[in-house]
Parts: sequence; structure tokens; C-alpha cells
Amino acid sequence: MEEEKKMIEEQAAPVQQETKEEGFLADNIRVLSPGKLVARRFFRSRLSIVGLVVILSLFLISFIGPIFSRWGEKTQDLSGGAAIHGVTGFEFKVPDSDEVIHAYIETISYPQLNKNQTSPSADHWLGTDDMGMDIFTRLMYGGRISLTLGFIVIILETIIGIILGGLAGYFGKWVDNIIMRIVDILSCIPSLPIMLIISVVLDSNGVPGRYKIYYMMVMMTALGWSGIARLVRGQILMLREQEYMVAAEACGIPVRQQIFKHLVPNIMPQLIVTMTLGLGSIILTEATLSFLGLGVEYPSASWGTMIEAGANPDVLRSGYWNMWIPAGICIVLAVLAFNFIGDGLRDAFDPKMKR
Amino acid sequence: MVKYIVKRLLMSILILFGVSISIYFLVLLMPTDFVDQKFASQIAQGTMDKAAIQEMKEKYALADKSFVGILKGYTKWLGGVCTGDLGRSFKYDAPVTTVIVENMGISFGISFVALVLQFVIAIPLGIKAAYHQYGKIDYTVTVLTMMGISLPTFFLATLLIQVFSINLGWFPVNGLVTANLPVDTTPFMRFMDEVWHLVLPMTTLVILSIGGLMRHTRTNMLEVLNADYIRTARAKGLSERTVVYKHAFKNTMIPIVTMTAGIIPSLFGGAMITETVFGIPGIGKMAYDALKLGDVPFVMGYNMFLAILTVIGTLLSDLMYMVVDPRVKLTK
Repeated sequence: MEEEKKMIEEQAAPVQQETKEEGFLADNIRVLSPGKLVARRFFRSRLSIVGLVVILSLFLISFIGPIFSRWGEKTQDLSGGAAIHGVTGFEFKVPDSDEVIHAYIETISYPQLNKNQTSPSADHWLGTDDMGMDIFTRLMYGGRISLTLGFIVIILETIIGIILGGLAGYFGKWVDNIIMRIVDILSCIPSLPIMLIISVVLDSNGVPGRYKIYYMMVMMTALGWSGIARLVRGQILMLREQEYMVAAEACGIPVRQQIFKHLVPNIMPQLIVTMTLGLGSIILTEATLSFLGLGVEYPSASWGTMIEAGANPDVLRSGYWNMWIPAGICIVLAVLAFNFIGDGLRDAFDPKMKR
Repeated sequence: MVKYIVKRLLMSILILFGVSISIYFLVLLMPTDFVDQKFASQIAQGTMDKAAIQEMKEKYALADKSFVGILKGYTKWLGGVCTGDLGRSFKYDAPVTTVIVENMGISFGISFVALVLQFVIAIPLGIKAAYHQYGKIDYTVTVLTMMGISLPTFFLATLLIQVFSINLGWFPVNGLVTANLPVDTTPFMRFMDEVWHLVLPMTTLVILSIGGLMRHTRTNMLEVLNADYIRTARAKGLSERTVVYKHAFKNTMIPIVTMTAGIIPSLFGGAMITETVFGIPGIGKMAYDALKLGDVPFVMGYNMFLAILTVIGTLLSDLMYMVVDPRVKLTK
């Protein structure tokens, strides 16, 4: 027994020594995981930090802001400052006496064709639109729609793209042929006209305006996955030839695991960059659709719908810039920030970009 | 090479067939009461009867909305396309091909000038930015051009109208011609009038597209500037100018050339939103109006026109790639 114990101790001793040495090493050399390296490179770029800050603040303001706002998305403040309150006084002399009756008529007139748009004031930080709705509050509600929809669409597109692109790239032959021909067809279909057609179809089938944007998003996903599928397929074709994949196959790892455990994680960097850049373009598309009246419909707020106010020449002429310019600035900020983040990530993921 | 092109062309026909059948089914889901609306007055006056309208619907295969009916309509449409007949537009009351060809000119004009300007501005900027990577110039150029990409088309267009048409009054708000030109206006003056109307739309297109090309140039230039032969060129004692503009620049042209071939669809297909906002009767606005009304023949014709342009664009860009870069070999 004792001998055994000794042997065990003897065996354990060098192990202990080694761990000590390792601990010693780790003190001097900080081991950075690839993830940390990427994060480090990402935060080195000033533009990507700016992008991140802008996106986070847009998110926070959009989701938390409305709680603190006095106004709702659709509350109308009809007391609008644009209305001119006039008081006209009259004097009547009562016949056969010295009594004088004073009467007042209060008039309310709206200079803008009975509309309620107002310029920025303490009550309404960015004024109100022609229905008397607070623009700043609506911007926040619009932000909720635009940002969430962007994320939902890009995630759905990516899932479909990974599955179909992965199948095409991994199996090749006829699977590849069929999927890639579908991708070819989809990328040849002009997207904006198709969206217009779908919107007309939805209208004629009596889909209520509130739900239209969701149908449009489904269509955007259906048309948009082809780009991601093509990217995934190309990457997988390249990665399949790598030695570690040959090893994985030789070890008899099941196909599903080969694809999702060994191939997909290696495509992730490329994919994340494409997704971030794609987010910007989806927000733009959503705004365009809403601007054309095909997406979110008026009383509901969306950045695109709000800019539509600027399509009215009267609004432009009367100088109510606050009705449409802030929404545009929000879109530009969001898209720009996503582009910055995407560029930053691309540089960070690419180990060749050491500068 | 010839074999490759033939193969690609055959494949393109297959793709176009797929595109056309999917668009056709989608388009036929649209309400087709356009025919009823259009001839409502004629019916009221008694110059046309219900039977004539039914006949008209039959002619365009709009009457039967069942699957078989649509399929029949599609084969008929396809037969027409094979003989070069895209049908007759309801809204514009003219053959679709004529409408497209007649209105393509103005769209092409705007896009072409915008394209040239885009190249003249974006490429030098991209080179400058790459040369001074992470410098002040690089940051300024990158941020400004990225802002261009991030602008929604309609927002930029409205902004330009607000500032330059309404506040400053330099340019007209919309349209292509001034409403009441004097009778004795010379053709040259008329042309200048049109150009004056087109300044803002062109500016819109240029601002929107500079960013993409600039970034492209910058990335490629960065890659090339790190190449060994650039170091050799510098070591030889060549001037910085020669190194950048002669040795490096030539090789950045490769991706730019292929990119240009990909621009073809937008060059001929019209800018739908820009044209609509500025009220310019180009092919894009025509298509937008037709789409909203459910003008089936025109919508089909226009979408197929765009699809064909896209197919040609991709094919050309692949071929150009091979022409300008001898290292690229055809695999398929």
C-alpha cells in the first residue's frame, strides 16, 4: 500500500511542477483567444467604436425613450402652436341705458390649411406633424420597427442561406445544381418592382395596412437569401479541400457534424461581416418601401413613412423641415453605423490586416 | 472560350425562363380590373360593350385566373416573346417594346453622365485614401462617401429639392421641361432646359454611387500597394507618382473593369425612385406608374428587360475579368 502511495506521489510530483511552470508562463505571456484578438483589433479602429456607440444609443433611445415620453405614437396634440388664437372684442350699447355689454369672440385659425404641424418647442422637442403627433416620440417608435425588422430579416436570411448554401456546397452535383440555379433566378429578379407587385397583390387581397410590412419582410427574406447562400457555398467549396476536413471525414464524423461543427464556424467571420453590412441595406429597403407607401402605413410610425411628409411640396415650401429631416438623419446614422461596424469587423477578422 | 460562352448563354436562357415564369405568376395575382376601369367610360357611352372587354381580357389571358388559365396565358406570352412581341401596354396604349425603347433614352442619359462623373470622382478619391491609409484624408473621404451610401435615395432627392429648388431656387422642383417655353426657343435652348432639369437627379445618382466605387478602389489599391513589385518599383528609384499612378493603378483597374460590366442593368433600366421623386418621364417612372395600375404586359416586359440586362451584365463581367486578368482560367 505504502509503496503504491509513494509511486502515485512520485508520479504526481512532476505534474505539479509542470503546472507551476505553466502558471509562471501564463503570468508573463497573456494568452489571447482568437475572439479576444478580434475584439482588440476591432476596438483599435475609431470608426467601428463610433458605429457601435451610435447603434447602441439608437437602440436604447428607441426602446426605452417612449416610456418617458408624454406623448404616444399616435396621440394627437391638436392644441398645436401653429393654430393662431385670436380674440376680438365687441361693445354693445344697450339702448335706453348707459350699460355697455362687452363681448369677446375667440377665434382659432390654422395658417396651414387646418393642419397642426408645429415647429420645435419645449412641449414637442421636434415639433409635431400635420396631424399633431409628436415627431420625437414617433422617431423612437419608428426606430423600434426599423431596427427590429432589420435584425429579424437578416437572421432569417442567414439561416436559410446557411442551410441551402451549405447543402449545395457540401453535396455538390445535382443538389448544388438545383440550388444554385434557384439562386441565379432569384438574383436576376428585380427586387423593387417585385416588391411593388406584391404590395398591389396584398392590397387587392384586403390585407390590413398594419400587417403589410410583415408580409413584405417575408418577401424580402425570400428574395434576399440568395446572396448569403452563394457566399456560404463558395466558402464551403474552398474549405472542403482543406486538410482538416479530409481528417474529419477520415475519422468518420457524421455529415451533420461535419457541416455544422467544422465548416460553419469557419464561415462565421465572413458571414457576420455580410450580415452587418446587410442590416444597413435592409433598413434602407424597409424605409424605401414605407416611403412608397408599401410598408408601414401612416398612423403607425416608421422612419420611411415620416420622410414621406417631404414628398409634399407644401411642406417643403412652408419650411417645416422638422417633419421629415430628423427621420432621414436617423436612417443615415443607423445605416452608417452598421457599415462602420461591418468594415471594422472585416478588418478585425482578417489576420492579414495587421497594421 | 467560345464553348464557355455558348454554355453560359444556354444557361442564361434557362435562368430567364425561370425568372419569367415566376414573375408571370406573381403579376397575374395582381388585380386585373385595370381593363374594366379603363373602358368604363366607353361602356357608359355605349361605344363598347361588355363582350368586347371580355374579348380583350381573353386576348391577354386575364379572364381565367385558375392555374391552367395562367399557364395558358404564359405559353401565349412566351410565344409572343419568341417572335419579339411583348404585347401592348394598357396604360400607355402602345406596344411594350416601343414604350421601353422610347423612354430608355432619358434614363440612359442620366445614368451615363452620372456613371462618368462617378468614375472621375471616386477613383482618384479611392487612390488618395488608400495612399494615406488611416490618415486625415482617408478618414474624411471614407466617412463622406460612406454617408453617400447610407442615404436613402428619396431622402437625398427631397433634401436636394428643398435646398436647391425651394430655398435657393436654382433648379426646377421636378419635371423635364419648363411648362411654357416661348415658341421661338431653339432646339439647343430646349436641350439646355432639359439639362438644367436633370442636374439634381444626376447629382443624386452620383452621390449615392460614389461610395461603393471609392471603397472598391481603396481596398484594391491597399492590396496592390503592399505587393512585392511595388517595393521593387520604389527600390528602382521611380518617382512616387509613377509608382502609384502607373504601376499600382493599372492593377487596381482589374476589379473596377469587372464591376463596370455589372452596372449595365442600372444604366439602361432606369432609376425608379429618383425618376419618380423628380418627376422625370424615364423608363423607371413609367414602370412605377404601370406597376401601381397593374398593367400586366408592361410590367412583364419591363421586368424581363431588367432580368435580361442582369444576365448580360453578369456574363460580361465574367468575360471581362478573363480578358483583363490573364491569370484567370475558365473552370466550368
